[in-house]
Amino acid sequence: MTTLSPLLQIEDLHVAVEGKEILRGVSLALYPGEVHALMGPNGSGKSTLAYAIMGHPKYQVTQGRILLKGEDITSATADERARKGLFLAFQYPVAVPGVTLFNLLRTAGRALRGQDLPVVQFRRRIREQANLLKMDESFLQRYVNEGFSGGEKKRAEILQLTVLQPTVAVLDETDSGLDIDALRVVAEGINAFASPANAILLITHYQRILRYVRPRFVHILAEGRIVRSGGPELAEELEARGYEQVLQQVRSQA
Amino acid sequence: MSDVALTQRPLSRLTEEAVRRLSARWGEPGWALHARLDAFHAYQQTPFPPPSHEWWRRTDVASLPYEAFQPDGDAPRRRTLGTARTLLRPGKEYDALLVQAEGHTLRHLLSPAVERAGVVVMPLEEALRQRPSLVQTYLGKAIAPTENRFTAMASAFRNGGVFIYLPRNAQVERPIHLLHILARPQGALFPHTLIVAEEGASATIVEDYWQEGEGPALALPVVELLLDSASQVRYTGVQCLGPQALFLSFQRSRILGRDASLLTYQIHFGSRFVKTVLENHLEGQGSRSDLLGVLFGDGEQVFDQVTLQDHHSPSTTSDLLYKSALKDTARAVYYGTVKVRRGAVKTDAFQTNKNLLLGGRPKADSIPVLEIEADDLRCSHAASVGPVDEEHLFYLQSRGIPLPEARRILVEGFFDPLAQRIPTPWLRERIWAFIHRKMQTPDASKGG
Repeated sequence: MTTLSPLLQIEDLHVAVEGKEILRGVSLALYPGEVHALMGPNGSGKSTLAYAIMGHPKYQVTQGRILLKGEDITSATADERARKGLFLAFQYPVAVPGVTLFNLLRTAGRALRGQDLPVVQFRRRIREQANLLKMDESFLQRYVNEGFSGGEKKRAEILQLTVLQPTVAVLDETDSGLDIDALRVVAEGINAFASPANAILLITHYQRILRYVRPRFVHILAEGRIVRSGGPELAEELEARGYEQVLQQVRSQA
Repeated sequence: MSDVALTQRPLSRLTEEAVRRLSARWGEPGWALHARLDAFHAYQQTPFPPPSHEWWRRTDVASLPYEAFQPDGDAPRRRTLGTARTLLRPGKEYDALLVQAEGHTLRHLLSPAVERAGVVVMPLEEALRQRPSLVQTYLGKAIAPTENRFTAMASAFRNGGVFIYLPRNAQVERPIHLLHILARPQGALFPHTLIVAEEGASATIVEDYWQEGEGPALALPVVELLLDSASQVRYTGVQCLGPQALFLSFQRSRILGRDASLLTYQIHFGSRFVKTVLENHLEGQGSRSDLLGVLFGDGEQVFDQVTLQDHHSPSTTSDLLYKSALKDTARAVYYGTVKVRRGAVKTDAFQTNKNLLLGGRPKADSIPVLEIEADDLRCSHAASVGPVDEEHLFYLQSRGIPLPEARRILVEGFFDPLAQRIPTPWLRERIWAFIHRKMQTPDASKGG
């Protein structure tokens, strides 16, 4: 059965940005139906991992590889990765002037499937998802992220996730900057997306989103390496003791 | 402009005989001939604007072979529109249509409603005969023929043009479409457009410049707009001449009445060399002016655009947005001045110029200038020159969109806010078609 092989596999990944090594040997395997939380203090390399998985040209893989559904995508372009089923919800999504959210979704949908969905059907699907995320439909006719508040940007990212239905989703601090109501709505969107057929890497600094989106595994990233992995209880431990204490313990054990 | 591939002819075609022939062609009254001759002498005596002047220093207009072009060619043998036919849509979509080929009128239509309202849309030469006092009241009130060498040249050799008069409270609902066709090789076109809007009048005007064929040609339009109180005029000039044409235009609007509003829109896709000087003067208290511009340059095209937002009176607003996309070795210069005169308090003046550099080695200069003599005002300007943003590209790629399509989407997105403000749907469609064609055209200068 295909469910025995990971959807996303990261092997000993080393990544440098402008010549400086940020990730120093990260390995991860996400199996179908799994939600993994990746936690870590600021500067630990969380976003670097997200960008490297998506294939941002500035993030150079110096060692190791990334496999998507068993296929090596380490040197694939971002659009090739997306078409193979990868998705990144950005921590700070850029405003794309002149391109409406609806147009982006339609163009992306066509690029991913290789053909247009019937407009009526596609429109209906976007509308349903937008309602689920409590987004006003007028957002669809606005330019992507232009003049959006922080919370609106995050919702727009999750809208793209639920409409485009990737196999592997990397969510980079989707919870940051959200108030409690927005957090709940976004988390519901993520839960609605999660299925036995896909996998999610949820990158976060805080434990609070994990009350709504339950991960199977929690990993702690520090100084470019995964220093500890465990179940959901690890997130609670982090919440109770703080990064500093947990990391100190890890260091003393090393 | 020494690199313009045009041969200087020893014999000038811009002669006094040509002036007299043109005047005789339309059976002009004596005063009109004398006005032409005065302009001709001014043309002979006035030097080119000096390159020391900021408006004239970035491209060399003095070296262009103006005299090689013929302003007084015979009437076109074929009375057909040729390729310009594609620009005309069923009559429903305009309230007036005037088509001229080098000054010879080919089509002249007015909707009954517009005629009943007393709206005048007629060839300027015809208006000089039929409505001399009306025309004389306004002609030259925005741009004096002797103002510079170019306006003098255009006034002496005027071979076409339009007079639009919107009487008090006249509402023209559908566009007034003016189409100038350059049809003959080495032809010169000097059209003069005079637009007068009386109090409370409203109209949308589209003036089109089109060329049959791709040979060398010259177009030098002079456009005057005079707006009285509470009038609303939307004026768009669209230049799509051939790749060897020279285009120089002088457009000045005087928004004279209170609370009048003017939109000017400059759209340039064609010509080898383009120089435009556009001034909107906000003389009436509370008046408003929007200034929009779109251009897309490829090959070896050169565009040099000057704008002036001149606030004479209090509580006036001007808002400018000019965008250009350039590829190959195309070049664009934008020099835009915001002037707020003493006493023009409560002025809002905004200016944005954005230049998108695409493939090849295009170049753009953007120079915003503020001349502020009043206080208590809001004023801002922004300029940018650069390629498509890498982070925008990555964002689209991360959604599965391949790089070439991502680029295309971003170029479309660059123009979209401006395209949406094109006042007529058929023109919007045409502009998009031009943008797409320009995006696809391979670099001619590399082809060898």
